[in-house]
Amino acid sequence: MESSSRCKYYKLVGPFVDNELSDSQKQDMALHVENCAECFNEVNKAQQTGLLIRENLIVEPTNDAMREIWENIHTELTNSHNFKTQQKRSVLKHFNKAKFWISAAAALIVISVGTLFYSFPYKTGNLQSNHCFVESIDSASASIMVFETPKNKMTVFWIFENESSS
Amino acid sequence: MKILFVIIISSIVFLHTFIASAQRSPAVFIKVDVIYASNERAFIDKKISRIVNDLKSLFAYSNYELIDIHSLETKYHQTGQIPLPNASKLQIVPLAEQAGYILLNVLVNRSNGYIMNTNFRIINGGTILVGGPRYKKGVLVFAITVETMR
Repeated sequence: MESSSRCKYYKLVGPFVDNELSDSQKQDMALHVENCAECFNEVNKAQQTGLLIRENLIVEPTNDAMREIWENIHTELTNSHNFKTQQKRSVLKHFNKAKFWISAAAALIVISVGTLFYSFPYKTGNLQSNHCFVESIDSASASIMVFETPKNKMTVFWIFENESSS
Repeated sequence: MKILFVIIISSIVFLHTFIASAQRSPAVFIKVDVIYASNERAFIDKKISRIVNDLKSLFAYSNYELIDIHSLETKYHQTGQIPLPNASKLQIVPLAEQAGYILLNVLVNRSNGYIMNTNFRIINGGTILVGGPRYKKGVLVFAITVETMR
């Protein structure tokens, strides 16, 4: 009921004081406020309230407060730097650890493969080969000839027995 | 990563144990095919066709029969003896292994003395032929294959 008796510009008092109206609205409102006692009082009240709020809110910080703020900022910055350094160190540590294990594994693989090749040298050669080197040969009662077969290069010891020995 | 390392270490320990045990008791496997070669008929045993193809280029026999196969496992400096059909004996002694070659001593013995005594080096897994001892109407040929696992 109260709202119906009030001036129709009453709703614009707040935005007018807060400078939220358009230029034309501002001009209308300014003209209206000069002629309307109710709105003029409201505008005054609102302006005074705003001043009071600003005066109470904008407080110059004391030296102690400033020192505390700067100390907090400094602590935060230092902590952040330390954290980054720790992260870097941690990553490096992990990398070094991994490098050690990879090197150890590689060395062990090389040693085992080497051992295998050293222990089984003939496995690398041609097992089908019949290479043969005669070091000595003799007989008590026969003549012996040594040949090599043309295809498979097999060494052939051929014993020519004397009639008496057989 | 640690698990991988443990697996690698275990494999190496196993490998070294296997190699060490192999080195302690190296076995030498000897296989001797006893072949009878003659001119009694024209026949070639399919089991020895590879050897016969080589032999035919050197000797003029028409009949090649595989009459016996001997397999024996011996060690270095341990004599392996094989009785032969003509009352002879074949003695094989592995002497050493050098760079993938096996040094062997082969002795063909008759009752009245040896008819061949030879030392030779043959590649591991290789085959040599010893032929000539008389048997029936032809001769005997021995295909000797030697292999060691180390």
